[in-house]
Parts: sequence; C-alpha cells; structure tokens
Amino acid sequence: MKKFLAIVLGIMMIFCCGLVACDNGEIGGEPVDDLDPETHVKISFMHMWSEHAVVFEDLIDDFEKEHTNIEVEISITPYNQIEQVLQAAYISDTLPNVYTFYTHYMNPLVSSSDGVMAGTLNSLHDEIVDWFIQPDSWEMGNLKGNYYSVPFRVTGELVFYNQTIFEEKGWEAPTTFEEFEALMDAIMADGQYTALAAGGKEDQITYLINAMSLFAAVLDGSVEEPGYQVGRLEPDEDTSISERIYEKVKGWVEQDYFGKGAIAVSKQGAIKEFTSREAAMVFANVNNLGDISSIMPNDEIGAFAIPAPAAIADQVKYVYGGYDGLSYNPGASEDERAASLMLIKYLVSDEVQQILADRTQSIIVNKNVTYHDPTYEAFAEEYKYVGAYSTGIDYMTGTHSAGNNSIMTSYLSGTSGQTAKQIIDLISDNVYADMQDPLINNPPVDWYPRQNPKKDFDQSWLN
Amino acid sequence: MPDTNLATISAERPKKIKRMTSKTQRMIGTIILWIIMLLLTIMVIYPLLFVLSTSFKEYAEFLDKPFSLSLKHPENYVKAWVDGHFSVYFFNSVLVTGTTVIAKVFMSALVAYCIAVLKIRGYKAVIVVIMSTMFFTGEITGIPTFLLVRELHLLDSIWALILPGLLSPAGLGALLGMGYAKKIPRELHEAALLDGAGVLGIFWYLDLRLMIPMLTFIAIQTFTSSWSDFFWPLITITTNESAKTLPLGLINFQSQNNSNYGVLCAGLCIMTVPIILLYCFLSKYFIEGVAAGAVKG
Amino acid sequence: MINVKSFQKRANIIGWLLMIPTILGILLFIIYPVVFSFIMSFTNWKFVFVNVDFIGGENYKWLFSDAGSQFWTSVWTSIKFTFISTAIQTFLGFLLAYVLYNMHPKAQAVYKVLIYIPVLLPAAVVSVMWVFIFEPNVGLVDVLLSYIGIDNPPLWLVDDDIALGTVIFVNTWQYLGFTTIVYFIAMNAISRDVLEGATIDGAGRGMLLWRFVLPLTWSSTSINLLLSIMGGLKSFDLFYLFTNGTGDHGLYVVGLFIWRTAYKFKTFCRAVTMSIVLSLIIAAISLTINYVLGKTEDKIDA
Repeated sequence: MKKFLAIVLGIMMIFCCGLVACDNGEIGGEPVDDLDPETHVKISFMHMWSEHAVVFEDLIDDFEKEHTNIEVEISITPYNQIEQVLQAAYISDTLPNVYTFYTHYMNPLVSSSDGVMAGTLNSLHDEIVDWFIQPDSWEMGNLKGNYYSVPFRVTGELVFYNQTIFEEKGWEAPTTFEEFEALMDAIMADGQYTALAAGGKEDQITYLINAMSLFAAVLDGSVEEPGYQVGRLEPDEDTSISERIYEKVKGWVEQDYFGKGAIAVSKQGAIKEFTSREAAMVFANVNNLGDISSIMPNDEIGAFAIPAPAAIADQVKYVYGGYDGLSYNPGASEDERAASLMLIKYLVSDEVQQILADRTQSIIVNKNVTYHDPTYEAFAEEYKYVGAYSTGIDYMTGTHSAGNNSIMTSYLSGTSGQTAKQIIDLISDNVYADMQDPLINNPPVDWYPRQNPKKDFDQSWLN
Repeated sequence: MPDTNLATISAERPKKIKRMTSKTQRMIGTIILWIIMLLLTIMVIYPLLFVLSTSFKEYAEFLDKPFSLSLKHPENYVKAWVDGHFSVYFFNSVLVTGTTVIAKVFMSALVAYCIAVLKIRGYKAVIVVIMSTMFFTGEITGIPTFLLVRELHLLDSIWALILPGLLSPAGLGALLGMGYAKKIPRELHEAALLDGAGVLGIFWYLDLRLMIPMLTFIAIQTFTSSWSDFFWPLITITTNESAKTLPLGLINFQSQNNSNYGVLCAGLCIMTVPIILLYCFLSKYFIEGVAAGAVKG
Repeated sequence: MINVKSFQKRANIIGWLLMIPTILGILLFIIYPVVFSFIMSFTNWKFVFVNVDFIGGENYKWLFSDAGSQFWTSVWTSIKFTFISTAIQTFLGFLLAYVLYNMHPKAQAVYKVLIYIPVLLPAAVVSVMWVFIFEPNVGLVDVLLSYIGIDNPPLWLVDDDIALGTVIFVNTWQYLGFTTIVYFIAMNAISRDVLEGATIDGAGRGMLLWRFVLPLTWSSTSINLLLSIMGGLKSFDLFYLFTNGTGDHGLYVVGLFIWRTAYKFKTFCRAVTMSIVLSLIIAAISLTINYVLGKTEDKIDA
C-alpha cells in the first residue's frame, strides 16, 4: 500500500513539473506593417463595457465591413473581474488578441508576467500620438521605456456642483485652489448644505491629499525629476509640506466638510446626498451625469477639476483618474498581431471616437471629437487634465503598501491616534518594503535620488 | 402520534398548583417566543423584499427611496432576461447544477453506506481523508485543477464546469451522510441480511431510502453552492459566451459607474427564485425522520 | 444462519469498489492539487509560468519573518471571527431548531423555509443588501436608530472595533438556517417515545433539553461545530464584498489575505505557502475539536 502511494505521488510530481515546464513565454515583436488584404485572420476582442455592448457590436461590424479579411469575435468581462480573467486566459492560451485594461495600471500585467501578456506599442505611439488631446496620457502606460497600452477612454472623477444652488447663493465655481477652499468655507458657513459630499469608504477624500501633493510637486519642481516620473523619487527628511496637506484635509473631515460620517460613506451614498440636495458638491464620474440629471431635472449640474494654487492655476488641475486602454497579445501570430494593431488604431480614430462620444456619453481621448451637449463639452475641457504630469510607475506594490489607504483613512477619521508625520513615514516605509521585495520586484528597486534642489514657493494656500 | 406537541404534554402534569404557575410562565414564554419569531421573520423577509422591490425600480427611484416598496418597472426583468442572454445562461446553469447534484448526492450516499454501515476495512482512515479534503482552501486546489482541466483541453467549454462537478469529492455531503447513516438501527440491516439481501441490495432497497431526508438536504446544499458558484466559471469560461452560467451573466450588469441596480436585482431574483422554489418543494422530505416508523414496532 | 464473516469479506471488496469514484475524485481534485501546490511553494512562481525557478524554503522563511507578520495578524482576525460566530451560531441554531421542532406543523412548514432562505442566497445578493442597510446616515439601520433617538451611531463597516461584529452579525444571519436545519433533522430522528417517556417521568423542559435532546443530537453538534469552524477560517467572500476587496478596517481575514497575495500582488508561490500553513492550522483545530467531541460522544453513548 505504502509503495503504491509512493509511486502515485512520484508520478504526480513528475506530472506537475511537466506542467510547469511545458509553458513557453514566446512573444513576437510589435508589427509595423498593416495586414496583407489577401490574408484572412480571425481575432478576438475583449472589452469591459457591458452597458455599451450594442455600440461595440456595431463598431466591430463596421470594422469587419471595412476589412473583409478580418473577423473579430467579441467577449465581455466586467471591469472588476477583468484582471483575473486576463491572467486565467493567458494561462489557458485564450488571451484575447485585443483587450481593454487600464493605461494607468499596466504594471500588474506587464511586470508580473515579464511582458508576455501585453505587447509593446512604441512605433504606434510615434505614429498616432498627436491624435490625442492629452499626449501625456500615454506616459501612464510607459514602463521601463516601452508603451504597453493605448489610452482609449477617460475614466476619472470631477467635482460636480449644483449650479442652481450656486446661483441662488451667489457662489461661483472656483478657478484657483484658494477660491476652492474659500468656496467650501462659504458653503459651510452658510450652514444649509454639506460642502462636498465624498465617498470616504472608497477613498474619495484622499483625492484631495493627492491633488495638493501634485500641486506642491509642480511648485517645488519635483515633477521635472526623473525619479518622480518613474514614481520613486526619494522622500525628503523634511516632510513639513506633506504634513500640512494631511492636517488640512483632516481638519476638513473633523468639521464635516464632506458630510457626517463621510469616512464610511460609499460613492453611491455621496451621490445620494447630492441628488437629495443635502450637499452642494460631490465627487463623481462623468458616467454618473446621466443618472444624476435624470434624478434632479430642475437643477443645472456643472463640474470642475480640483484647481491649483493661483501661481500655477493655468498650468495644472487635478482629476482623480486614468484611462481605459487597449492592449494586444504579443504571443499571437504575426498576422493576428498586425490585425490587432489595425483594430486598435481603428478604435481611436476620429470617426469611431466621435461615434463613441455620441452614443456612449463618455469623454473620449481623440482631440478632433466634438460634443453636441454643452455640458459634456465643458466636462471634456476639465478632463483634459487627466494624465498631465503622469508617472509611469516602474515597480510593483504589494503586501505592505496595500494597507496604505487604510492607514490614511484611520488617520483622517482620527482613530489611529498617529500624527501626520508618523503616517507619512509609515506610508513611504511600506512602499520601500515592497520596492525591495525581490519576489515582487526583480531585481529590487531603490529610491531615485533628487537631481536638483527643491524650489521655494509661496505656501500661503496651505494655511 | 408523530406530531405530539411537547407543550401539551407538559401541561398535563398532575400537580394542580404547579400547573397554575407553569401556565402563566408558559404564556410569558410563548409571548416572548412569538416576539422573537416575529423579529426573525422580519429580519429574513425584509432584506429579501429590499432586493425584490429594488428589482422593480429605476435608478432614480432607488436612490431617492431605497427602502420603499415598489412594483413600477417590471420591464427590468425583460431587460435582464433578454439583454442579459439569460436563457442560455439559465440552461447552462441547470445542466451543470443538475449533474453536480446527482453525482454528489449519490457519491455521498455511497461513502456514507460504505463507512457507516459496511464499515469497510480501513474506514477510519477514509474518514480522516475525507475530513481532510475540507481543510484545503480554494487557493490550493483552484489553480492546479485549472491546469489539469487545461491539459484535458476542456477550458472555455461547459465540460470545464461539469467534470469537476461530477468527480470532485463530496466532503461535506459524505460527513453529513455518515452522521445520519450511523443512526440507522442495526436490527434493520440484520433483518435485511436474513432476508437474503446482498451488499448492493441493502444499499439500494434499505439505506438509500432511509437516508432520503439527509440526502435531500445534501442535494439542496450542493444545489445552492453549485448554482451560485462564481469563481470557477469566471476563470475557466473566459471568452465562450455560450458556455457561461447565471452568476457570470449577473456580473455583466455591474459596470464601473453605470449603476443599474434595478436590472441587477431583477437578475438576482431570477437566479434566486428557482432555489427557493426547489427548497419549498423538497423541505417536506426532511421531516420524515428515520426512526419515525421503522423501528417503533 | 448467514456467515457474517463471509458477508464482511464481500462487503469489504464491494465497498471499496463503490468508493472508486470518490477515491478518483480525491486523487484528482485534492491530492494532486495539494502536491502541486506543495512543490510550487518552493519556487518563485508569480502567476504565469515564465522564469519559474526553485528557491528553496525562501517562501516559508518569508512567512515566519517580519515581512510576513501580516499573515499571522490576519490568521488571528480569522480565529476571532470564527470562534465568536461559531459559538453564537451553534447556540442559537440549537435553540431555534428546538423551537421549530415543537411548533405546530403548519407554522413549522413555514418557518422551515423561512429560516433557510438566507442560506440559499448567493453572496452577491447578500452583500448588495447589507451594504445599503449599513450605509451611514441614509442606511436602514441608521434611519431606524434615529427614530429611537440615537443620532450618532457607529460607522458599522468602517470603525475598526465594530466592523468585525457587523460581519459576524451578517454571517450569523446567513448561516444560522444551516445550523438550525442540521439540528432539526437530527431532532426529528429522535424517537418520540424517548421524549414522551421522559416527560411522563416528570422531566422539566430544561432537563429534557439538557439530558435528552442535546446528547441525542450530539453528532449534529460536532458536525455543526466542525463545519462552522472550517468555513469560518476559510471565509472570505463577505469580507471581500464589504471592503471592496481591500480588507481595511480590521477585516483583513486570512482568506482575503491569501486571495490578495495571489491575485492582486501576483505572488502565487507565497499564496500557496500560506494556504498550506493555513490548512495545517485548520487541520490542527478541527482534529482537536473532533477528538474532544468524539470523547464526549463516547461518554454519552456509554
């Protein structure tokens, strides 16, 4: 009996090792030429917009009519499952030829798979980058010098405000950070509304910390640092500016600027506060606009990106967000890869992007698109800032920094009892621990020292 | 008298004075009991009503009055069924769940019989092995099984769902079955043996039938977990729309910012109703306890 | 007279033959995966099988070093969750089953269904519901509390001290029906004669429960305890759904931690290492409990 078991186990072990060994990560390079019109190919396309399934079916039909030699099979996986599904598909050799993922979040696919899941797009970048409103958006998907994702659709969150209330009360949408703060103070002083409803449970309050940190980085010249651009500029000993940012936001939380219990509110809860006219402003996505205006048909809705301090207000604004992007499977045959790139190019072309803007009410990346609805036009103007000063973070985060949002939340809600300084140090220690983890980052990466000294700037907006 | 009420029995106690106090005590007890049962009812029913009434709401209405009752938008169901391709998914779910339930119930019964009744050689070791199958988390078994199914070239087809359903060991079912089969009186087996029944005969004519209450329960348990299994279909059926099951169809209604809770809840109701109906239908078999009639005489 | 010996011999052979499907299933779906995972726990396997090398015991070393301390914190959270909810669930389940057992047949038929409905619901339904019920200010719980004058309720799913309690509550709501029905089936299997005899002999109701019903349903108690403990230690979906998969606010249970190590941080080798250690922990706890319960059962039988 024991002998028998030993033999079975032995066979299994060999089998297991065989399974591991038989995988090969062969990848082809980026195809440059279009597919020969005589060659017939079948490619697969996976997207994540179940709500726009019909639009995509129509678009793909048009593509197939235009290129009769290419057949495209569509499948849909929702946004919150697509990461796992793509990985499973890769392992089972069914990775779609073209798939949607996030331009600002390519790291998990690229780093953990050593580049076998997403192909490089460097020559395509050079070819079509001036089609884009925000060429910097490509940099979000730039990892170690290669582009892996074509930005396709903006996804980000603006501050929505109720114009009707604003007119009644004589408030105005802010153009500088100073005005933004004064506006929130005025709304709170008025007492009738919550200033800015935010889903703290889904980290919306931390957007403000991110925004102010970006402004400080622009002001002190950090954004020019190569270390900043790869997301690992060495943190300074002196964290006084960051501390002031943290303390400022915490002060707002304590005074209920974001509503009662905002730290536990979900995004839906925040929108509810806005639509029931308890809040004058809310963080929301452009895709929420349709729902919101159908609930409050008598109110005009406007939106703005978080504005920067007066000194740089015309150069930068902050929008929390990134891009849904398109990538292709580099392991496919050369013909399939050529067809894949043709499909990607088609999806970001003027006419297709125009159709998407008209039919899906989303904000689009192509600069030649026009919006028929003035509200969307105004929104698009604000969304232009998504990806400005963007960084292509060139390392993976993991176990340690995964808790950073939780640390921030408990700081903001006052339950952790730690000072801003302690929180800031803890967060960068966690990031460093992940950077040094040889399993997550191989080889381990280190902080990137600052090249030029910080510039001085007027800090009055932090008071 | 299988339905004798214990309360009536205790009321018939002989001592007169004691009866008085116990009567008031009993009344207070009954009232408290009913309050508790009422609360329990509300706690179970209300969340269900919440999902049900949400399934009849548009987003605006839902956001405005999430906890109100409504029947305004039955078209959510049409949307869920037609736009969500639910007819295909429903069929697949029935197929996968059906085969899984039959296989698991039969296997549980067999294991329970072999171990608790036949006490085959080395049955103690088998119990430990079966119990140990339940120690392992999905992370251990999931990916290797996935690779195994890949080697069999079954990924992205409905066989990837059916095969593990047919063969994966029924740990929970076997344990429950064993506990139940142990209670079957030995006299019954001895009598059957004297009547000349064989090993298989005893299983088929005696134990399988006597185990029906527990087997029904195992069937429902398997049905529930297989019917709402989400993770395994998610990674095995990646691109083949015609092999997807209901839980996968359901997540198609969840999109990042488009919050169509009405249709989502309609889909949830479509998915949940068959389980509840099945349970209502089968639950009457639970009550037929083993000992109810078989050994009385 | 039948030859019992020859019957037992035949029973052995046929019995093992009948076990073949189960054995095959265990080999394919349990033993092979476990062996595979065990081998992979000595490699640097991330997710795809590119550049996978053996790295010796590094993963185990990592787990027992400072860097892996989060694992042990999450194991502790899981243990707290498991033992509290198991205790509540088993106690309430037993009482409820007894109430159900004594009900009028018609009421029984209704409650038998009612009590089990939450068990039948997919986790997705449950989470959609409860997230809205626990939403601050506008959620059902807070609205109801404001009616009775409580205006500053805790943040149910965010306050570190309370969140675990909230999940225990929801978990109990969902699985109480299972425990109850397992007990209920066992109670129905008790011969009514035994109980009738006991009542006529003058046993009070408490005595009846303690002396007769509890011992006679003891095997259900052990099944319930074991299932609830194993399920609790592995549980992950409620935590995942309530925290959007992050495990914030003191809800980082070990199941979620392993899941994230695998699928989010893409370090499968560590995830399988942790799974193996977790399985050993589950095995140790379950076998201990099984042993203790078995001793008790023997005592009852004697």
